[in-house]
Order: sequence, then structure tokens, then C-alpha cells
Amino acid sequence: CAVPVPIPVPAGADENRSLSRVGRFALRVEEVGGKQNAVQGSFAWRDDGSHLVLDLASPLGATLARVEAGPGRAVLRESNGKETLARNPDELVGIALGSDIPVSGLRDWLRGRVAEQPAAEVAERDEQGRPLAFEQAGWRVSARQYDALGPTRLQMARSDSGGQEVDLRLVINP
Amino acid sequence: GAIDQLHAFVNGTQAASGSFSQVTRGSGSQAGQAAPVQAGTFSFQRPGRFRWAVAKPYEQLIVSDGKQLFQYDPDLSQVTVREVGEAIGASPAQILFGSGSLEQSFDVAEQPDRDGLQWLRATPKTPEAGFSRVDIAFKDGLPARLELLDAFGQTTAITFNGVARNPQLPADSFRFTAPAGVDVVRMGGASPAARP
Repeated sequence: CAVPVPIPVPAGADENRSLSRVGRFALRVEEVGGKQNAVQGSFAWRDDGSHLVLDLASPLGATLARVEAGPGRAVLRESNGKETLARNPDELVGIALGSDIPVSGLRDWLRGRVAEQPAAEVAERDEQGRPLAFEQAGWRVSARQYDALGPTRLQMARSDSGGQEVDLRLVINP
Repeated sequence: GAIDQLHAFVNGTQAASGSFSQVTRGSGSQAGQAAPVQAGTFSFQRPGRFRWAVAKPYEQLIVSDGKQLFQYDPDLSQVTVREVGEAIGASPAQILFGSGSLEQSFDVAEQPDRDGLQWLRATPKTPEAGFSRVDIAFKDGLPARLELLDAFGQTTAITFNGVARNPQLPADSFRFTAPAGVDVVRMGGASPAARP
């Protein structure tokens, strides 16, 4: 699987505010009847604190969708040229991948942080106080194998009221 | 030219194996910025059986036994299994490893020689292919390079090395059994994001 190009952090963006990561994702959705659907691919993530760009690519490297999110506005561009606007990026990635993704939560989780809001429950921290297991906005999250920037292995699970089970795994490339 | 080499390759080379290196380069805001090079090995046997194994900088395996397509990522500890029919569709893998005619899903045109290689350009007939075009270079009747341009201006360049024509392939080259503890997900329809 090819990796999309890491999206460079713009000059002037406050360094510790910006995070640029490239990795792979696997999304699995189990419907009530047991029917399963899954997507694997690679991603490039660049978040300068206010503006987020997320590229989702197919295993052979063709970028299939790009989600850009700024304060109060998000846009999804798909490889067939279709553009969709929304208020937040979570549902947009849902359109591209078939199930909502906690993009807003990930903006903190990828930095090894859990935001104050919405209310969260941190069940486990490492000796440096970094969150390893927590629950927020309906997602049960495990964040492991930290490097200097944050966790490099994340597993997120959610079961919604309709009985649908979602399992999302992220791996940050070495 | 490249097109007759492609036809000769599809008709004359029933199987092949070799290694590949792959790099994706951005454009515009990401020009010059490349993701790390990926390297691995591949093999295929017509019709429809192929193996694409990324070894570095991480491991990932795509195997098709002609009926089902397995995509396994050890770090993600998940393998997705889908029917081959809808999985390959209009993708580069189908061009090189499949047995259907390229012209079914692509408009194909000769390109000028470059770097001592003969090139053709395949443009998908539908926007659903997930990429804008793929250029394929031939040398002595074998694919040497593949350059895929996606809809966001990023180019993925794949170089094939040490391609052996009609080699003796191990019997289990195109079989896949999931290691213990790995999540096996059997798929309904294939979404474009997962098409190789």
C-alpha cells in the first residue's frame, strides 16, 4: 500500500501546535445482522491547530478523498471530483468511508491529549501521565506505543444505539 | 511500441515475479515532498492470481487467488476478504496481472519514449477508478515502470526490478491463511478506498 505524501506544515505555523502524521487505517463496521464491511487504506494528517487536512488513499497510493476542516466549516473532495460541505469533518469522513470517524476527537488523541469537552473518562495513563485508555463521545479508545509526538497505535470502538459496531484502527508509519 | 508490448505481455507472459519499489510525490503545496519509499516483491499468474507484498518500511500483503482478494496488514492485525470480481475493477493491478483486455476499462494511447523506455498512457473510462491516469513503461516486453496520477495531483511511481518471465512459482504463492488472532473481515461490496 502506498502512503500519501506527508502534508508539510506551513512555515509560521506554531510548531507545537502543528502535527503532521502519515499512516494506515482499517475501519470495520458490523451491522446488526452480522454483515461486515471494512476499508483499509493509508492516510496523511496535517493539523496546524486551526486548519486540518486529511488525505485518505487506496492501498496503491491513489488519494481517494481529501477532508479539509477549519473553524466551523469542513469540505470533502472525492477522487471523482464530487465536493461536499458540512459543519464538522466527522460526518464527511463518514461519507468517504461509510462510517463516522472521530476526526474532532483525533485532533487531540493523536497528540496524546484528551480534551475537556465532551466529558471523558480516562481509565489508564502511563508513568508520564499520557492517556492509554479512555472513553469520549461514545468512543472507547486505546492509545499505545507513544513516540515524541503522540501515540503511534490507536484503536477506537463504538457501538451506536442502532446496534452497529464500529472498530477503527490507526497505525502511524515509522 | 508500448501497446504491442503490453498485448504481447498479456498474451505471452502467463506468470511473472520480481521486486518493486514505490514512492508517492505530492504536487502544489506538497511538491518535492515524498513519502518514504516502499519496497517489496510481487508475483502473478493469469488469470487473476497475484501477490503484492510490501516489506519496507512496514509489512502489508495483498493476495488474490483468482476468486477472493485478501488484504492483510499485520500492524493493524486485520485482513479483509472480498470477491475478486468487483475488487480489482479498473485498477493498475488489473492492467498488468489480469487477463481482461485493457481497452475495456481504459482509453490507451502511445506516449513518446522516455528514459530509454517505451510508454503508454491508460486513462480510466469512468471517474470511479479513483485515479486520473496511469502511464506504463515497457522494456524488452516486460513492464518496467508505472506512474499513477491521482485526482489530487499526487503521483505514485512504481519501479519493477528483476522481473522473471513465466517462472516456477511455489504452489502456495497465491494462497492466504490468516495468522491466529488476526481479525478476518469478509466483505460485502467493495468500496473504492480499498481497491488495490
